[in-house]
Amino acid sequence: MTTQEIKVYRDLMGANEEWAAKTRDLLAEKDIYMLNLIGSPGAGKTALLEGLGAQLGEKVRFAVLEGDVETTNDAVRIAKLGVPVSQLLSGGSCHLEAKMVHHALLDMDLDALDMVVVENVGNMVCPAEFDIGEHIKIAVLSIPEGDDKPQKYPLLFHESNAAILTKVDLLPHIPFDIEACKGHIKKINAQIPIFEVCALKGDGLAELIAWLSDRAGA
Amino acid sequence: MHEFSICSLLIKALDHEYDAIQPPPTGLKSVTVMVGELHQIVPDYLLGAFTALTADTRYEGAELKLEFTAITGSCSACEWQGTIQPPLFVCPSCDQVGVDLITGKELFLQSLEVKT
Ligand SMILES: Nc1nc2c(ncn2[C@@H]2O[C@H](COP(=O)(O)OP(=O)(O)O)[C@@H](O)[C@H]2O)c(=O)[nH]1
Ligand SMILES: [Mg+2]
Ligand SMILES: [Zn+2]
Repeated sequence: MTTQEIKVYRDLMGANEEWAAKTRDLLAEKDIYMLNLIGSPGAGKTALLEGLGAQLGEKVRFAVLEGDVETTNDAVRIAKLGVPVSQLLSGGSCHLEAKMVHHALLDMDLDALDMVVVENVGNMVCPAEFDIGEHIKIAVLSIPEGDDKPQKYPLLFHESNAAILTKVDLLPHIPFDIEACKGHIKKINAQIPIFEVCALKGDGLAELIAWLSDRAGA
Repeated sequence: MHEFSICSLLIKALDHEYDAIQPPPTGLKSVTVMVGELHQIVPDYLLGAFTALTADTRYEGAELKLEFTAITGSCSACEWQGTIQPPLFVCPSCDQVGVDLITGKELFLQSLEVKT
């Protein structure tokens, strides 16, 4: 048996990048701003979207793409708000891929939208690596997860254009040093705004809505 | 789970290259992948995923070789350039946050060794 060495230099993300680029073209053509929300399972991403729902809807026409490993529960929650929503099931995969997102977008009435919010599959590692053609990534971190998470998942905070600290109503009950946490984020990404919200009571949502609608050009 | 996704991307890329080889090889001896350390890959998990995903395929028994690239960057405020240690994005020379990455995000299929 003889062996032959073949040099290649193929980017493993190449195919995903091509779909992401198609999505960017589509979004540019339709003048739609797309957000990619990334955080652990249970960080409160869906609750945040429920909280934003009505008030954000007054400023921008938005739709939601719900990424989950299984079940359509989250899409059902969003549909109750009267917001257009599509459920993407990753079928065991820990992140959404650009191709799935692209096809989901093609199924939506894009002419009726200014913004699409993607709730990625709950995970702080993989979704940060897979470009889905979004304009910005937003890191979502909840108080119960601990103030050191930005240090443990630096790539997510580095790639994000904003960070949202959720469940701030739990601060009195959990040892979480919010200033230290913000400091960790600033040491990874000095410029990004950090929002502190309680989706259940609505605290902090007005600032976030103002920032989002400003970014979307509304 | 992370390593599994990366491994399935690897196999897709591998299929692409392997099918293009003329004359068709009789098997795969090894495959080398360059992995930037920013991906936080656990080597044993990736090797395990590769064994699992190639079992009963034409790649069965092939060796996966990993070449890690360190996280390096340069500072936008001073002249510093080098390997970045945690905290990852702070310049060790001037303390400024905003180090630009040079390497560390690679995820490349680098070479294959095929049996002919
Ligand atoms: N105390 C508190 N609980 C919250 C808040 N937001 C979400 N939760 C709870 O956290 C759990 C997970 O929320 P969910 O939105 O499904 O998380 P997701 O997996 O990130 O979409 C649910 O039980 C929510 O009721 C909040 O602001 N405060
Ligand atoms: Mg959810
Ligand atoms: Zn410097």
